[in-house]
Amino acid sequence: MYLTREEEAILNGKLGEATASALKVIVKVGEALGAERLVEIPHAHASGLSYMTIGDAGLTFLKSFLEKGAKVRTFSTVNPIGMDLELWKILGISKEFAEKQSEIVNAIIEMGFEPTFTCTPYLIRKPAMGEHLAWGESSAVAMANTYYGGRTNREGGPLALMSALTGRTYMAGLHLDENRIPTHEIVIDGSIELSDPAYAGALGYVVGEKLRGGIPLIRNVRMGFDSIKSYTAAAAASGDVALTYIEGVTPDYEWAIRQASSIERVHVEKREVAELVKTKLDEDVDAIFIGCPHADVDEVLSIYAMLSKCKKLRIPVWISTSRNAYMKLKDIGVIEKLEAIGAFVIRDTCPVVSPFVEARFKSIAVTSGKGFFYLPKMQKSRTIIIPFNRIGEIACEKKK
Amino acid sequence: MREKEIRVRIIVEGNAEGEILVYPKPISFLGEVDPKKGVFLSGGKELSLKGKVFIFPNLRGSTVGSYVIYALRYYGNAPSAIIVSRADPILIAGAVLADIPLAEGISEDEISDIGKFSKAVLEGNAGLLKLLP
Repeated sequence: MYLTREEEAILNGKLGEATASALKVIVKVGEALGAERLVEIPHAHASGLSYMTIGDAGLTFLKSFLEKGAKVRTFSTVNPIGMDLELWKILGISKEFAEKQSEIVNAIIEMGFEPTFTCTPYLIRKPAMGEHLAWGESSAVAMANTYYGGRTNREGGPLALMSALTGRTYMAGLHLDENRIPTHEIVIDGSIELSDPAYAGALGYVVGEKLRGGIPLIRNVRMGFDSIKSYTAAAAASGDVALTYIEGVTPDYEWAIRQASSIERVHVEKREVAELVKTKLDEDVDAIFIGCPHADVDEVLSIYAMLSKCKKLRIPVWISTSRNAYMKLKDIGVIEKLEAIGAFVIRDTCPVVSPFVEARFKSIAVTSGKGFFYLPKMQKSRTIIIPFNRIGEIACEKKK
Repeated sequence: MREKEIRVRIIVEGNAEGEILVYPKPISFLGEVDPKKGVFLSGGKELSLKGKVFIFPNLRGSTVGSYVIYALRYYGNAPSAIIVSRADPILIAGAVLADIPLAEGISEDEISDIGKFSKAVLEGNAGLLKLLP
């Protein structure tokens, strides 16, 4: 691999031991994947920082890097952790878990990460078209590539961290034009209500299952921001789909169409998507979870609009969001209003990576295809998808 | 029995030798390896990894795997080398950070045949894996 003089010097310890070993990892991975050079990145996003998923192994790793003087060298954000940093006691998180989680948080803040704790880093800093990034959260990776036309591979936790510490990633995979050519066209037979994020998430789940990997292209669909966010997250969870070309959405869609000389058609029937979404409950659920990926301010406002017709919710509604969005919602009084009717807003974490879920909820309704994929695996909860636009009716007490 | 030589592609440099620990299927370091105890959990058994030449086809599952490989070194339980059919970024990142020699390119047939051998020597410079009875 070609390295600049600066990069050679970093490998030789110019910026200290931590930066040298971080760059060594990136070079090795890049070489194994056939990269010819490295590229500087304006934004790294590290995942895998919940104590529930990385445990003592991860904590040990982070601490030893910190001891070697690790400091971020580009704008760097972090994924959700295993608890709400303010409300962990109320969530029933154990003191031991909270202490270990706090150690992880302190280590990454000391390294210079922005304490964002969200899986929606694109709402913190918007990727520019063609920009090279190193992001570790699969749903965020898929949004960066699909919605913003940015370029990032799915790096996984440690590699995104190494990129944060060096400000660089390797030029391979989705950083290169030749690996961004669509492979499959998704043909939807029948009309699906994709303006509802839950249906868009169900579509993503089906596309991920059918394709496993590959780069799909979808023509002629109407999906808003929330639906695209839900679709991309689900397709990245059930499959390894890190980029979808959506007509009218993806900035380099026209370029992609010109490149695709042969493209395999994959049919998705309306029935396959519709049967994943339950428009009413056969039996009750312990909670409704919204915010996978994290709900943004507008989403929470539309949730509130649907729930506010209710005096007291029959089924508790849990909304996970970023602390950034949480503060804005608090300023306009929406958090208190939601709490008054029996909805909870949590920040910094999400149901997939927090231990409070398994202990409390055996059955969950979600509006997310990603949640539908992970919750039964991570939390052993029975999980169903309900339409986003019906959460008001489903959660509300029956009017007599 | 005679010894056998297999040509491999070195990813993390180093020479190593040790007893062979082989597993014929993809493994996930998260959940299947306990770094503190230094064991690979296989079908209810705990198989020690420390100092072994650990051979398996490829990684599966969580990206947290890199952290676990690193922790094996941290707790003094690292294998002396890891040999796989295909290396992926999670495994490479872990092996580089833990400074565990890593090579790829052993075929799955060769893996299923390895039971006959008990010791392995990795010659990093030559890109050779020697299997000894």
